[in-house]
Amino acid sequence: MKRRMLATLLIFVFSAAVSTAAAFAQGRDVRFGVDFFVGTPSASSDIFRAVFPGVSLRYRHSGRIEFSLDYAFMDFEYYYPESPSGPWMGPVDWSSMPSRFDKLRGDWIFYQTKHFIAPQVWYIASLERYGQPLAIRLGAGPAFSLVIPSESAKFYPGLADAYEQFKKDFDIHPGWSFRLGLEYKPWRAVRLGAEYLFVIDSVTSFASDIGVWGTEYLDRSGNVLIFAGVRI
Amino acid sequence: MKAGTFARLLPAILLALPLSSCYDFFNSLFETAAPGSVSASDGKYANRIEVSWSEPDLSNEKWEGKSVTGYTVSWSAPGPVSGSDSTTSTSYSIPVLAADRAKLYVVQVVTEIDGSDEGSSGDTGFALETFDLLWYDGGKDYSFTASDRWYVTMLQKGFDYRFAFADGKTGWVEFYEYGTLDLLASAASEAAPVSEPVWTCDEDGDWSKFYVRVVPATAGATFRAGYGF
Repeated sequence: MKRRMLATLLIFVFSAAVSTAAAFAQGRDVRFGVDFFVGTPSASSDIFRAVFPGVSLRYRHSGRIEFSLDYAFMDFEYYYPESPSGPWMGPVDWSSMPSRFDKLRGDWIFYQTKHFIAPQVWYIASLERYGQPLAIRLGAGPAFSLVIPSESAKFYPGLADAYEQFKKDFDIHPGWSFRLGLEYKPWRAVRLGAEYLFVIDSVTSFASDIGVWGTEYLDRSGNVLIFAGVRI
Repeated sequence: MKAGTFARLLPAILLALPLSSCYDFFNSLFETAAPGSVSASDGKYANRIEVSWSEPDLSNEKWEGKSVTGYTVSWSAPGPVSGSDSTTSTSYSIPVLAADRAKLYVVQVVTEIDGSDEGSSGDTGFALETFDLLWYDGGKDYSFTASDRWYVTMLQKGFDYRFAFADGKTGWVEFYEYGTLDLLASAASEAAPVSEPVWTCDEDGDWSKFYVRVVPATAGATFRAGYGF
C-alpha cells in the first residue's frame, strides 16, 4: 500500500514538474533541470523485479556540457540475531533472512540503508541536426556509496557491533562512475531516456576484476537506468 | 459546499486536528489576535516544558495601528498543578517538579494588545526524565532506587521483552508511544504484579520507539531486561 501511494505521489510530482517546467521554458534558454530515474541492480536484471529510485539535479553549462548531482537510494540490508543470546548476522537481503521472521518484513527495525551520490560532468551530443529530437549523453565523475544504520543500533549493542564490523570494510566507499545514455526530447522542457551506469572502485581493481570476470564484469558492475526529466 | 454538509464535516475535521491546530483553525476563522502555532515540549526535558509560539497575524484592518504588548502563559495539570506568568518573548519555560513529571500539562498562551486579552491558543506537553533501555544479547541488569523509572527504547514487533525482577520482587511494566503519554500495553499490572513481566510487542509505537515505565511493587529494584522470539 505504501509503495502504491509513493508511486502515485511520484507520478503526481513529476506531472506537476512537467507542467511547471513547460510553462517556464516557453521561449527561454533552458539551463536547470531535474531527472527522476529508476535503475536495475545489474545491467541484465529484470527491470520490473528489483529497481532502485534516484534523482539527478542538472545544470547546463553550455550547449554540450552539463553538470549534475545524482542521488540514488540503493537498498535495504538486514541484520538478525541468531538467538536471544546472539550473535547478530548480516547484512543480508531479506530473501536470506530466517523463515521465522518472514511475516515481520514490513516492521523489521534491524537494517541499514545504502545510498549512492555522484557529482557528474556530462557531454551532450545532440542528434537534432539529423532530424531526430535525440541526444547521446556521456557522463563521468566520482561516486560515493554510503551506508547508514537504522536507529535501532543505538538500543541493541549486538546489532551495533555487527554494524561496526561491517563498516570497518565499507565506511564511505569512493569510486568512479561512467555513464552512456540516449536522451529523447519529446517537448522543449522534457527529457526521457535510458543510460548505462558503470561504477568502478579504482583502476587497479577494475583491471584485476576484468581479468577474473571478463566481459561478464560489465554486467555485474553495471546498471541500466531509465529516466524522465524536466528542464527550465 | 452546502451549510448542512459543512456542519456534518466540521466535527470530523476538528476530531482529526490536534489541540494546537484546533486553536489555529478557530482563531483564523474569527480573525482573533491569538498567537500562532503554540507548541509545548513532549517529554524532551526532565524539569521543564518549553513552550513556543509565533506572533499573531495583525494584518486584518481590525488590528490597524495596534501592536502586541505581551503574552500571558498559563498552565494546569492533575495534582492539581497550575500557574501563570507574563512575557514579551515568544517562548517560555514552565518549571516542573520531580513529582509532577509524566503529567499532561494543558498550556494556554493569551495575546495582550494595549492591556487587554485579544485571543488565545494552546497545546499540551509534559516533562519526563528518561534513560535509554538497551537490549544486550543474553540480557542485562538494570537498577534504580525510585518508585518507578521511565526508559526510551526501540522494540521489534513479534519479539518478546522480559523484565525479570531480582531478590523476590514483583512489579509491572507499561509501554507508551514515544513522545506521548498514551498507554499502549502493560505487562502485569498494579493489581496483579509478577516477578517476570513479559510483553510480546504488537504495537507500532512511534516508528517502533517507545517509552517503557518499569514499576516495582515496592520502591527500588534490580531487573534483568532481555529479548526473545
